[in-house]
Amino acid sequence: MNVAIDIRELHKSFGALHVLQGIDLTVDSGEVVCVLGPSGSGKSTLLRCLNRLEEPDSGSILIDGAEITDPEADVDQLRTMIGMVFQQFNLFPHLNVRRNLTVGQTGVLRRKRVEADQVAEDMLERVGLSEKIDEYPIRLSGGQQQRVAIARALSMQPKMMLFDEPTSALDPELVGEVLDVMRSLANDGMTMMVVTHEIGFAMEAADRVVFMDQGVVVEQGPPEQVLSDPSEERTKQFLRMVKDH
Amino acid sequence: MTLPASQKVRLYQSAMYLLGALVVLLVALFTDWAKVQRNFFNLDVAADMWPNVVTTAAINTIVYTALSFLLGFVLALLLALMRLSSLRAYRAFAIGYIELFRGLPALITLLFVGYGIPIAFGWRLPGGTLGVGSAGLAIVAGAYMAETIRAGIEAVPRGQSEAARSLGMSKTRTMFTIVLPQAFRIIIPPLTNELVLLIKDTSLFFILGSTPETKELTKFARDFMSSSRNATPLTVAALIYLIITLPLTFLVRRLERSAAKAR
Ligand SMILES: Nc1ncnc2c1ncn2[C@@H]1O[C@H](COP(=O)(O)OP(=O)(O)O)[C@@H](O)[C@H]1O
Ligand SMILES: [Mg+2]
Repeated sequence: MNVAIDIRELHKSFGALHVLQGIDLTVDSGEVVCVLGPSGSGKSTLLRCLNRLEEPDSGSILIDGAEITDPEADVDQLRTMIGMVFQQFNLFPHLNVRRNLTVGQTGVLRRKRVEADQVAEDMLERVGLSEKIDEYPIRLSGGQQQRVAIARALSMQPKMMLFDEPTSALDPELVGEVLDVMRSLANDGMTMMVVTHEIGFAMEAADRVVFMDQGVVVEQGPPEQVLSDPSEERTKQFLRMVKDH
Repeated sequence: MTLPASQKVRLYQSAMYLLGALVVLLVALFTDWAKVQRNFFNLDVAADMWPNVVTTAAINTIVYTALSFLLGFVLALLLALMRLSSLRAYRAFAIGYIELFRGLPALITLLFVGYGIPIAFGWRLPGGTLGVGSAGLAIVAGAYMAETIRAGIEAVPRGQSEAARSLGMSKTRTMFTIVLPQAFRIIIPPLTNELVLLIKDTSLFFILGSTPETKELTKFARDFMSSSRNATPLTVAALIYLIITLPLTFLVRRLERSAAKAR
């Protein structure tokens, strides 16, 4: 099986704060990996290093075999292969939904307007929001905005998708619709790395669960094992805390 | 003697009203109203100014303002981008420029451009009063507007450029298609304020010398005052300035209020 993401000995500090303390992790293509861990454990930083929104201090990251951490790497080109979904959606408020989905296609991938529009329509349909194509983001609910954000990332036809707590900013009743979209993506074989606190989602959708704490991978394995029968004390503690909520 | 607080306030207010009324009354009594009317609101003099005060002077003021603003804006955008550049030398230049021209009287800058450069190099900027004056004011306005634009850029949430970059957009494309359009919306009110300041600053153009065709409002009024030995031209000029600036300041206040509401 192909390796989509290959992280080796990744270190990252903010000043004196050693946030990532040597991460080794691989994600196979087609695999869905959920990353769990207490707040501040470095999950976002890890994800943001993968497309170099954050500059790693040392170590290497291979994206579909290409080293994105190479100083000579064409980062912009590699980023088009990595879709990213943020906690705060980050839709472009001055552009309507259609333009949100085409601005990267026409500007970066140099697709023709017609083609980009077609892709945008297809992706919107995939997240079930075809009728919102001419709306502006502000007029959408949080759940709809996040689904548009997923469609925007998909419009670049990336090889993998990164999700950073995609449902944490949502009202509880809107979480389901976003998870549904993510589940169907997973079923379609998309390679996904998902930072989340949704244990239920991890349990049913993940091929593998990674538990992080204080900048290291504490344990990883199939969801039934890590979530129901963890071997590390820190994992047990964390799961008790999450389940209490 | 002790009074309840509310009564104290009322007493104080009544006293202030009375004082104000007294001052107004005294001024009214001792002012020669006929003289005021003859010298400041003289309709015959005002009629003599027509139509040149509008067709030449007011139009010139507007054209000078527009060109100064346009040039200043382009310069400011460049400076703001330099100010935020990752290259230290660019940042240093922008900071130096901004501090220099915000620290000088606009008049000094105009004199440098209008007389300093020709004296030093035997060369004058093209475009006569319009070209020289607008360039001079643009140099100053560029410094002020650069800070406004920079603040606007920094007010756009970082998540916006992160989302754009993660789609593979270059820094430059991100700036021009995602960040700047949002920044401009934020800074329309302060930029409009800048425009109002510029309208008034065009009155400094007199220092560059002028022909009947190049006079703006203030110079036109001043010359008319000398020839007519009457102050009415100043009143007329002042009214025209207000006709131009008041709608703009009103617009700014409305924009600011709706922006505050959107937040
Ligand atoms: N840009 C930054 N500058 C300084 N510290 C940061 C920055 N980003 C994250 N951190 C710190 O790094 C640690 C890990 O953050 P993060 O990766 O966001 O954790 P998580 O996503 O697991 O909650 C936190 O202590 C956080 O305060
Ligand atoms: Mg986080």
